[in-house]
Amino acid sequence: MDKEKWMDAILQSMRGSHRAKPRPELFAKIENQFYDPAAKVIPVFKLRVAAAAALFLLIFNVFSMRQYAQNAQSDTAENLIESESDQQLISNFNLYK
Amino acid sequence: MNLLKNHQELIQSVANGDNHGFRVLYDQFCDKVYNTAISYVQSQQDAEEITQDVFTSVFRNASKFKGDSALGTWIYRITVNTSINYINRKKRFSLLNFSNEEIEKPDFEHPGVLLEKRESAKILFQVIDTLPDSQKTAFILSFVEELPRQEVADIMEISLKATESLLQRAKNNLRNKLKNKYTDRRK
Repeated sequence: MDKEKWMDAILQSMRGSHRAKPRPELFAKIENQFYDPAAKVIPVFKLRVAAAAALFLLIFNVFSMRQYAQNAQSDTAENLIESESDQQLISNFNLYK
Repeated sequence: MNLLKNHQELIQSVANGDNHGFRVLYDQFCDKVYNTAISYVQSQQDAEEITQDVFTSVFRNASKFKGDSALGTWIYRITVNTSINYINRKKRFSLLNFSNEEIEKPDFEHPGVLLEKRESAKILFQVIDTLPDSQKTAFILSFVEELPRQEVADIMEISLKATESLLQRAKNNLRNKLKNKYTDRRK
């Protein structure tokens, strides 16, 4: 088919089409919202955003706690070394022998 | 004149909390709202969600309708704004996924298209999706909803001349995109 005719056919392809209709139960869903505002349907992507945020916070907290634990361990090790070397100093420092 | 009076009475009844009035309003406009929404989002599920939001908004703001425009114009305007906001929110959410891959949408088949034009309509909706919001709106209202140009202008709150200009630009953009598709077909 000639290019221009092909493009015209595409642009006019919705001519004469019927309107799409929603499912019959949609009205009941809308009505229920007014009688029970707590039953509002939360859009799926909002739930996904909330889930993604919660997951991010969880991972961040786990990571932070691990970092804290590792730092605490190395602090303890360092303190131990320091106190041992302090002990040596003190024990070697026998002024009164 | 009768229709105008009827619509005025109808929206007034909705504003007064009349359930029957709301049902009548829904029955009169739900196909228009849904058909417009589905042309934007190209998904039945998303279009239903938008339709729900539109009628919720109509119900809650019925008392604010002053009759400056026709009731249908007002409802179409809410539908257009709700659809565009819905798409933009979805785009922002997909950015949060930090994904570099484009999620490929399946080809959209409009439920109301004539059988012999189905393949052409699939291509049309692919290219409509690439238009800027204002051109997309003008094109959908004119060529999918098949509204008169003046009504499109009223809905978009622009002049008739501006509407014609938008439509011309939309068609030029669509033709440029279609030229590439035609070339790809021939390969």
